[in-house]
Amino acid sequence: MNQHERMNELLPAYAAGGLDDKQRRQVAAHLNQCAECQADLELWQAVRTEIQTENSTLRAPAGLANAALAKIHSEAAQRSAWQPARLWQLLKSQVVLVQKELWAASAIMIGMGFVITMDTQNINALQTLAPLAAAAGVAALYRPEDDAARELAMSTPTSPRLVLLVRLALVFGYDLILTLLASLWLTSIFPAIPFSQLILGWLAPMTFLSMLALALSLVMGHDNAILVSYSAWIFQHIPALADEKSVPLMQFPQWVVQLVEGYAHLWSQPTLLFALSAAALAAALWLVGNIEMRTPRSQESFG
Amino acid sequence: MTTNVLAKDIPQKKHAEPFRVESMNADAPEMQLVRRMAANDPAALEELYSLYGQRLYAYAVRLTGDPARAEDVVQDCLVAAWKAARRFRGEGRVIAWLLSIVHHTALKSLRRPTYEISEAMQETLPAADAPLEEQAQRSQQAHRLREGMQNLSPEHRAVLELVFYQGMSMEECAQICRCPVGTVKSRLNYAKAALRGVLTRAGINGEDVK
Repeated sequence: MNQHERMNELLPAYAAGGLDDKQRRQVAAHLNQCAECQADLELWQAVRTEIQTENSTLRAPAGLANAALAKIHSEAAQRSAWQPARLWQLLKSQVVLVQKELWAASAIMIGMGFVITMDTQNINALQTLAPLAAAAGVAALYRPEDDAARELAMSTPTSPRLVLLVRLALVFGYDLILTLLASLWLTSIFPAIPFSQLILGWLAPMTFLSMLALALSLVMGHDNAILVSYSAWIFQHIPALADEKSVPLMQFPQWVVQLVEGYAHLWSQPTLLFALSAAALAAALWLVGNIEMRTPRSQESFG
Repeated sequence: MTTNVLAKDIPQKKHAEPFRVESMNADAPEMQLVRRMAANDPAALEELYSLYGQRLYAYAVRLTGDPARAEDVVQDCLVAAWKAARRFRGEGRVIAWLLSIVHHTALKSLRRPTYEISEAMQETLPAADAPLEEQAQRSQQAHRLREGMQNLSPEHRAVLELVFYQGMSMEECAQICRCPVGTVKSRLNYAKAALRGVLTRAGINGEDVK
């Protein structure tokens, strides 16, 4: 790099007033002899003047620091929601916000399953009713239109997804524990019933039916979700009922019979049902996030 | 025109701190602000904004060409600075660090395809039909230069703003833009050629550029 190129490179800094004395003297001396650098310097000076003139008309908006602090606090509150103490507090706050009828309704339905199983010594009763109880409870988790929880102002904003998960854990966990207790009791009364077989009979279907009802409730509302998920559950019992009542399924076309039997078979595949449950839960979480983002009262729909 | 006149016209450190890459003095007031931010002192962020807000906002407007979007960029910059305050080691000036955050936030925001051109942005686009009074007020050359700069890419506008308003050295420009010093120099050369081309096409020769 020759002297001219070195000096020419320093011109922007020279025009901006940023060189040290020694460099300034060198550049000034070169400018005396170089018309090209003089022209370049004039251009840079004009650019500097234009930029500084334009910027002098700008005023940084007041309150941006406060807005940034509000955002920082809001993000911090969201993060702290995942800490154990905050989760526990959230669980406690949601217990009272879940519709009270849910607890009794679930207990009655599972209790009915227990009593009928006791009476008939047929484990199908508990295995049929427990998933229905759980699905009905879970489908009612998200009802912003008549949710008393809307009235509750939480001290810190909580993500709608987290609130849904906490409520799901409460209601589904409650049904799970009740059905587990009923199963334990039944196997202690009737040692002939294998405990593992009893559990396997309801655990996977109950999980999937609940997650399905939850996802559907976000798409079509509580009532329709219950209707569709109950129909899905009852439909799978058709082949078994047909066998029991000696209804000849053969009078239907072959493909219908295969479809019905294949569908019923799906409900006896625990691994598949758990995988589908995970997919339905993921869909529900995605949906609730989207719904809440579209509604202006985004942080309040649950509480 | 003589060189002495040229040298005399140039203000010293009018808008900028000295051109040197230097380690931050740990006791410098702005470094204290960063320390206080790391210790969760909200007042420190407000002080930082009152100290540098104008420069950060000017840089964001220069890059985005949109005051509304520039506001978002500066707000995001403050949030990012708050979060990163603990990790700031003072290896450069605080303002260079903040400008670097604005730079990347603004370029990221410009890449976002869903962001529509706002009304405010349209006002700042090259305005062939700008009000006559305004055109009359500005010299033809200044008007052309302004247009020429708006037509440059954000990366080229960034270098001009960093050098001529923010008082950054070539090395600091390179750090802020995360590119080699050679790239900063070639962007300056490109901008010079482009702006000279704009002025030449408008019939303003080098002699008139003052």
